[in-house]
Amino acid sequence: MSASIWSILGIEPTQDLSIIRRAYAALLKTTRPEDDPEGFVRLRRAYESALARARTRAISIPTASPEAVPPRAETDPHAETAPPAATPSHGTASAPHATAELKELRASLAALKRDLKASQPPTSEELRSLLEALLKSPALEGLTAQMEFELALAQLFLEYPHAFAPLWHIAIDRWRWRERGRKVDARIAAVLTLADDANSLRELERSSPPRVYAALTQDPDPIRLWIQIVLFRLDQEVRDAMRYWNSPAPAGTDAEALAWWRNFFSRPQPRPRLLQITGLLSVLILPGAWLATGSLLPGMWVLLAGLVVTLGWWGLVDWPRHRFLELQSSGPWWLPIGWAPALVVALILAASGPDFSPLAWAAMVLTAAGLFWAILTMPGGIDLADYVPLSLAIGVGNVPIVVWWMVMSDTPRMHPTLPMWVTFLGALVALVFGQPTLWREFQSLTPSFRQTSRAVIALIALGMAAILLLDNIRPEPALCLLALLSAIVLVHRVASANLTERQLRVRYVLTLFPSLAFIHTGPGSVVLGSPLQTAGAAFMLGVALVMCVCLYNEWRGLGPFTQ
Amino acid sequence: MIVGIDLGTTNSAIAVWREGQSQLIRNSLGSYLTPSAVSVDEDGRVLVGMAARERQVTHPHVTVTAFKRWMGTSRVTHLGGSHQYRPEELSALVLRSLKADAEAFLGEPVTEAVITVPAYFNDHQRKATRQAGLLAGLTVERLLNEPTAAALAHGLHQRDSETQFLVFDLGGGTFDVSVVELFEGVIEVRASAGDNHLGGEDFNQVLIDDFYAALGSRLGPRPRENVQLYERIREQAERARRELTRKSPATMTVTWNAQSFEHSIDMGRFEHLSAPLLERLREPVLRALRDGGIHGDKLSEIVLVGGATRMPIVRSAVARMFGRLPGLGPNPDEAIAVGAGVQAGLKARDAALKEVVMTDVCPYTLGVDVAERRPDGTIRTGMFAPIIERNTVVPTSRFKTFQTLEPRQRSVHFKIYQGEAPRVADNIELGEVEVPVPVQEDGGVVQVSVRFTYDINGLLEVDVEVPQTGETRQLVLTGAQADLDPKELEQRRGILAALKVHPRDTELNRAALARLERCYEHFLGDRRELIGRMLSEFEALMDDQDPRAIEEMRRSVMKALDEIEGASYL
Repeated sequence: MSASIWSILGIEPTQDLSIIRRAYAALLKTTRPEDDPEGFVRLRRAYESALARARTRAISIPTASPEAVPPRAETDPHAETAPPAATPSHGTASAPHATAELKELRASLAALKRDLKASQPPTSEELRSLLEALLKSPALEGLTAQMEFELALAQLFLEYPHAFAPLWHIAIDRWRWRERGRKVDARIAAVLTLADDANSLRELERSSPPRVYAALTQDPDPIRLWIQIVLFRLDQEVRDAMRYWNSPAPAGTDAEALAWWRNFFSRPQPRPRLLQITGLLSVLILPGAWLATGSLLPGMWVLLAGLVVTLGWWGLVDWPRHRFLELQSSGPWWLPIGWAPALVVALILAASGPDFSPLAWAAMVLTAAGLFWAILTMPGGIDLADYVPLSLAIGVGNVPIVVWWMVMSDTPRMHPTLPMWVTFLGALVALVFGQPTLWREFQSLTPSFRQTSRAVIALIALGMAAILLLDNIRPEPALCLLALLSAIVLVHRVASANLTERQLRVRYVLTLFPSLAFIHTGPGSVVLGSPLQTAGAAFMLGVALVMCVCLYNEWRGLGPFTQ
Repeated sequence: MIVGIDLGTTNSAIAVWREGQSQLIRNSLGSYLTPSAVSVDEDGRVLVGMAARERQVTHPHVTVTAFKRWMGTSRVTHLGGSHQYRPEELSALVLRSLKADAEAFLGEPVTEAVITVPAYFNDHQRKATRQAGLLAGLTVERLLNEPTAAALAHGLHQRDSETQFLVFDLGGGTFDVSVVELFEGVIEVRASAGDNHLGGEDFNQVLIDDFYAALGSRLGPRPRENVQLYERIREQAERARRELTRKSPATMTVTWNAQSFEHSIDMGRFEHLSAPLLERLREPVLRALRDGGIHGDKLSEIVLVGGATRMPIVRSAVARMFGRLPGLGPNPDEAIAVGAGVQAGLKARDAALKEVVMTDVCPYTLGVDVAERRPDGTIRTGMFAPIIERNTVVPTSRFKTFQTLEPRQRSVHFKIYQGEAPRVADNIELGEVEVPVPVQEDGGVVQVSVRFTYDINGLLEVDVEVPQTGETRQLVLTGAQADLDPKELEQRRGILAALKVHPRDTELNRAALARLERCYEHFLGDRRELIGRMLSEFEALMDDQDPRAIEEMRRSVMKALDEIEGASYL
C-alpha cells in the first residue's frame, strides 16, 4: 500500500513536508477535482497518507504562547501589486496589551491551582467568585486564549471533580460546550460526561417522589428498601435511573448504596411482582374471609401460600436458572423443548390411569418437572412484556377447549381429582410457556405479516367470545370445530411463515397436542361451567381488544410493536 | 458563455471572466449590485431588483425579500392573485434578471452559470439553488461556496506565496468562515463552518426591536403585527445601521398615522444590544480553526467579506478575536461575485487560469442512524454514525460496514443525516434507504455496507450494498426537496418565463417611481407636497412615453430625492 502512495505522488518516500506538498500541487494541476474526480480522490488519499506518515499530529491544539510566533516576514507582495480584490498589508503580530492581560489570566489560573492544593482549599463560594472573575478577563476575547483556557479549565475540573461539580455549568454554558457535537477535545468530553451524570442525579433529587434519589445517596437500609421495592417497584426505578449513567459512580452517590444495588441486580431476588400479588390477595381476602367465617385463618393461608410460592419460585426456579445460565451461556438445542416430551408422556399417563394410582402420581411429578424445565429455560423470565403474549397464548389455547366443551357438553362429566387437576393445569401452563419462542418469531416478522396475524387472532377471539356469550347459538359442532381448527392452523402458519416445513410441523404438534390431549382427560369439559364461561368470554373479548388496539397502533405507526 | 453569480440574501451580483480578469456586470440601473427582491405591481407585472426593494416599504403585501433564508423549505409566498412562488422560483426570477443584464452587456446568450451558496448550506438548500438556476434557464455548472469564492478572488493575486488566511463572510442572512491555505499555486480550503441564521438582517432586527421597545406604546394597537408599519421601521433600521458605520448616533424616523416618530441610537448602545449576535460569531471561527488545524496567530490575514462586515462593531469584534485589525478590502459586497467570475473562467478553461487549482471541503458531517446494543442487553436507537466527517476535501467517497441487529432480520432501513449531534434527532434528515437482507437461519449477522459520495458541489449520493447477495439500493430524497421530475420542472420554468415582466429599459423608471412613492409615504409637510408634485408629474410623463423627457425628469427627480433623504440604498 505504501508503495502505491509514493508512486501516485511520483516521489521517493520522504519525511519532508514541502517535497510532498510540491508533488501534490504539481499533480493537482493535471488531476483537477472537477475533471477527474476519481483520480483526484486517489491523489488526495495518497497525499493525506504521505503527510500523516511524515509527521505525527501536527494538527494539535497548541498551548504555546502567541509571543513565540514571529511576525511573518515574507508576506508583503500586496504592497507592490494593487489588484482590485486584494487587501493591503496590515495586521502585525498581536498587540502588546493583549499579551499582558493573557499573562495576568495565566497567573490567576496558576494561583487558583495553588489554592486548591493548599491545606485549606477555598470554599464553594470562594471558588465560584474566583472562577467568575477569571471568566470576565478581557484576554478571553482572543480566540487563541479562549482555546487554551478552555482546555486548562477542563483539566482542572477533571482533577478536582468534587470541588467544581456545582460550577461546571458556568463554563459549559459560557462556551456552549454541549453544542459542539461529537468532535470535542477529550477533556471537554469528559467534563460533559461528568456533568451529564451530575445533572441526572440532580433531576432525581428534584423529582417527586424522592425515594430514588434517597436510595442512591443514603446508606442502604435493606428493610426500608425492600418495602419500597415491593410497594413501588423501586428496583425498576433505580435500574432506569442507572441506565443512562456514563460513569460507574457519579459525584453525590453513596458508595455503599451503589454496592448494595449492584449486588441486588447481579443475583436473582425474590420476585417483587409475586410479593405484590400475595399482598394484594391477602388484603382482599383477609377481611372478607374473617367477616364470612369469623376466622383469620383463610386469609393467613393465602398469605402463607403466596410467600411459599414466592420463595419457592426464587429458590427452585430463578436461582437454578441463574446458576445454569452462568455455567452454560448457551445450552444444547433440545433445551427449550425439553418440556414437551415430559409433558406428552405425563398427559398420556394421566389420561390412561385411574385416579390416585402410582401412574397418576408419576404423571403429576413429570408434569411438575416439565414445568420446571420450561420455566428454567425460558429466556428472560416473566416480564411485563410477556403478559400480552401470555394472555394471547392462553386465549388461543382456550379455543379448542371451548370447542370441545361444546361438543362434549352432553356427555357425562368426570369428577376431577388432584393429579388430574395438576396435570391439566400443568399442561395448560406449559402450553403457555411454550409460546414465547413462537412469540419471538412473531416479533421478527415484517409488519404486514404481523398485522395479518393479529387480525386473524382478533377475529377468532371475537368469534369465540360471541359464541360463549350467546349461549343459545349452537352451530353444527363439527363445522364449527373445523372452521376454528383451520383458523388456528392459519394463525400458526402465518406466524411461522418463514419457518421450514419440518419446523412448522414440529411446532404445530408440540403446541396443539397438549391442548387436545387434556381435553380428553375430561377436566376441560368440567372446568368450564357457567361462571367460568362468562369469565372465559370476558377474557376472549379482552384478547380481541388488545389485538385491535395493537393493530390500530401499528396502522398509525405508534406503539411498542412498531419497528 | 458561462457567468458567475453571487445570489445573496440582500443583494446579488453577476460577473464574467474576460480579458484576463473577473469583471462585474452592471445592471440596467448602472449598479453592480441588484437587490434580491421581487414585487408585483398593479398590472400584475413582476418587478425584480431596486424597484421591488423600494416597494417593500410601500407595498409590503405584494413584495418579498430575503427569500434566500427559505431555500430548502417548501414555504410558498403569496404576492396576490395567481402569484404564488416557492423560494427557488423567487430566486429564479432574480437569476433571470441578472441573466438578462449579462446578455445585454455581452451581446450573446448566457446559458451556464456558477452560482455561489453559503458554505454552510445543507443538501436541501443546495439542491434548491440548483433548481432555481434551472428554472431561470441556466445550467448550473458548479455550486461554489461563498467564502471559497472570496478566497479565490483574494488568493488569485498571491499565487506565489505560502500563506494561511481566514475568510470571514458575514452577508445579509448567512455567516460563513473558511480557513484557506495557499501553497505552490494551490488554493486549499482547510475547513469551513458557519451559521445559516446570522447576518445583517439580524442586526437590523436588533434596531427594530429597540424601536418597538422605545416607541411601541405610541404606535397604536398591536404595532408588531402591522406589516406596513413593520416594513417602514425595517427600512429605517437598515438605514440607521449603515449610518452608524459613518457616524454616531443615527436616527430612525418613521411616519405613521400622519405623525413622525424619531428614535436615535448610538454606537455604544448598538454594540450592547448586538452582543448576543457578536458572541455567535465566535463559535464557527473556533470550529474552523480547530478543524483546519491552524493556530489563530499563524494566519497571515483575516479577509472580511460581505456588506455587514463594514459595521464597526463587527470589525472590532473580529479584532478582539484575533488580537489584530482585520483587512479592509475595497468592496466586501463584490468579492464573492468576483470569485464566482474566476470560477466561471476556470470552468471555461481560460488560459490565464491554467496554473490555478482550488480544492474545497464540505463542512457537514454525514452519517446514518444506527442502534447499539448496550452491555446490559437493551438496545439504544437513534445514534448517529458518521460516515464522512466534516471538512473532508471534496469530492470524496467513504464507506462503512454495518451489521444487522436482530436475528432473522429481513431488511435494513437507513436514514441519512447531516449534522454534528450524537443523536440523530438533533440532526437534519436528508433521506432514507431500505435494502432487503437474506434471513439468517442460525441467527447470524448480515453485513451491509453504506457508501457516501460527496461531489464537488457538495451534493450527496448514497449507495447501500449487501455483499452477501449483491443487492444494491440508492438514496431516495425525502422532505421538501424531492427533485421535481424534468417535466414538472420544464412546466414551472415555462410559467416563470411567461410571467409579465417590465422590459429592461423601463426598469430605471420603475425604480425611480417606486422610490418616489416610498419617500412620499415617509416624509411629511412641505417635503411631502414637493414629492407629491414630482410624483404626479413623473407619472404623467410616463404615460406620454417620450423617452428623452422621461429621462430628464427622472434624473432631476433622483437628484432631488438624494438631496432630501441622502443617497439611496446602494
